[in-house]
Amino acid sequence: MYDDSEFYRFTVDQYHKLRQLGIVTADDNVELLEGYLVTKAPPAVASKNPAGLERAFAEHLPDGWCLLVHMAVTLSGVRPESEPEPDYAVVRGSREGYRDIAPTSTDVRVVVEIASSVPDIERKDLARIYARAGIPEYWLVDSVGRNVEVYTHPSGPIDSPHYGKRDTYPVGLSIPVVLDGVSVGTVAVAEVMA
Amino acid sequence: MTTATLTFQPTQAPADDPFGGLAFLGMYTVAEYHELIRTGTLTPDDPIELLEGHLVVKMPRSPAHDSAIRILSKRLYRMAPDEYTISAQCAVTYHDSEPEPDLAVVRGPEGVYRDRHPGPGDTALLVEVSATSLTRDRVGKARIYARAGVPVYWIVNVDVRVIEVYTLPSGPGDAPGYAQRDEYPVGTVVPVVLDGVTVGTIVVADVMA
Repeated sequence: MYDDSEFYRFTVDQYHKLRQLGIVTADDNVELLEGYLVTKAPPAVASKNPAGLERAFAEHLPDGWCLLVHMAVTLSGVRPESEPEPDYAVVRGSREGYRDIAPTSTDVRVVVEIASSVPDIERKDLARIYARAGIPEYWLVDSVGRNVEVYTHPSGPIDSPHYGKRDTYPVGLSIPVVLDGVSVGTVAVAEVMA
Repeated sequence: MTTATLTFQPTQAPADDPFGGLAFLGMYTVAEYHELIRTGTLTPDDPIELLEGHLVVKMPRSPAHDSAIRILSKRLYRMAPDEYTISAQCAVTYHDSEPEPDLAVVRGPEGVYRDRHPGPGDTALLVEVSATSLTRDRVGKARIYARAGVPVYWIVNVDVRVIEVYTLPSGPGDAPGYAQRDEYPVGTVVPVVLDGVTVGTIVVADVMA
């Protein structure tokens, strides 16, 4: 009866109101993706090493950067708007600064998603969403394929947003961590695998 | 204030939903919808209706569509007895839907609806003018109106210049629908029946561009 184009898309402001009003609660386990409320799919592989990536990153982040874990990032200004909750995000500033307000696309340098049981959401939908917002680097941790896909060169808000480059790092390799053009260290793929 | 709660209905999501079927496209009760409007989360500038729990974007309107509404409303105003009120593109409230039919003939004087929209027991005749919205009008809206027991439902199909008249609604049930469907092409006249009384006729050719 209805096709995709007929459903109403919310803005980030409306989404925040839905949360304030209690129409959407934390228990609902949703994020805003291109104006739709989308249930977060469980990870494809339950992690046996949930702190691995956090530890691997924490070693390398210089002052002025922090790692947010399972927190929302606001990608507004270009419609359709999104507020995903990446598994990890490297953002400018300190965690305390984001207690009441989510970082925006200008604060976020790297987002990391663990592939879910519906991996097309991370590989296609979220890649498109992060590329539209101009997030410089997007890592997709594929615990089934045992590698990390690193997407760079976001197109920004064009008709079909995408990343211009994808590098795949299998277990055994290390991924360089680059913040604002400065290499701050490397993260071993094995460390971030479940 | 009671806090509205989200009622997920994941199994109702069609297979071709965006985001692998994980997007919750059907989730709002009428109470939640009213809360969204009351708080300004949704505004009159948002072109939407609540249809069976879905927030659905209204179809863009064509000149032929709007012209048919103007012509029909003028005739209905003239022939409707005093105990009825005509409303154009106003909301009606049913148990899981709040559509905004192109025209509605509702029971009672207009002041009755200052504080609430007309409900299932209030609507005598609903009209949807169909250009791009034919599938939605024939399938979804027909199901909603039949479930609410709206006795007469017209689809004015301006593309093929036919008025479809649906009668004998099933009321609530597993598969609500209308038992009777009659077509009135150009060259015929449609009787306007309000609660079993024929109050006049509409010349189909007059309505079509």
